Amino acid sequence: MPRRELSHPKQVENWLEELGAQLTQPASLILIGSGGLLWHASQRRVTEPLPENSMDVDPVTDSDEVAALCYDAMIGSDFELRHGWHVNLMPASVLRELPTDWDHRAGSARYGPLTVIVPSPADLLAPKLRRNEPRDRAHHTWARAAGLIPDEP
Amino acid sequence: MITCDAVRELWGPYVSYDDIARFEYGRMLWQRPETRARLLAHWLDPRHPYRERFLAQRELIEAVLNSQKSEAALQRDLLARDTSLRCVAREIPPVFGSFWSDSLRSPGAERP
Repeated sequence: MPRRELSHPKQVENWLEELGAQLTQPASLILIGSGGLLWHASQRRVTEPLPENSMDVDPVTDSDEVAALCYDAMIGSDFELRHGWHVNLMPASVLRELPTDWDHRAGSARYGPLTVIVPSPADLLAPKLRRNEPRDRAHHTWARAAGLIPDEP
Repeated sequence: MITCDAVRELWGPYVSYDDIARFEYGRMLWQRPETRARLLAHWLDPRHPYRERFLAQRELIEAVLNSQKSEAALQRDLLARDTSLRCVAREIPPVFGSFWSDSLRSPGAERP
């Protein structure tokens, strides 16, 4: 079985393009976690893979059409079989884990009718640094090396 | 804006985002007739490990999914019924990706 985890920035971009192409009306999602970091890396044309990989992306949405499509991509789905990672819908209340006013610092992009909002790399890393597991620290180091966050003084 | 206190009051001090997600997105998708039919077919599928558990709580789970009330109002109603939002959310059956796509072929089919 080949390794097909989520580690390359372009994988997230490709998924969002695929998702946007399936929508019939305008919708939005907020992408958090390492999927969000990979999105920022993709915007900056970073090709260095995320260390430790990831097995899922964590979107939040208020669109039933997006949610329905995400249900088709959950763990154990054909989507996961094809991609090697899955979609794990998160509730809006998870956004309270982010620093205050994260939405003022967020990035966004359009994929057809889909608007994607991604908290800034520093805001995405804040809950990870609170958890502070080895993988979280590795993601922080990767984000710094990729230029997503400034070098520490 | 969801405050930390509001979330804690409804869901307890040790929040399970998976439970909240199953409640929020379950309620959202229940409003789509085609997805509601798929959810029912999936939860009643003999392969679903929580089928019997769902059948035992079906009236309550469907009432919660159907409700248009706010989470706080729903919580008040559920507390009056000697349960809570947190307990009912836990009873909403999960969706298993391995046979979720089968419900597309026979949505609404309430298998024996």
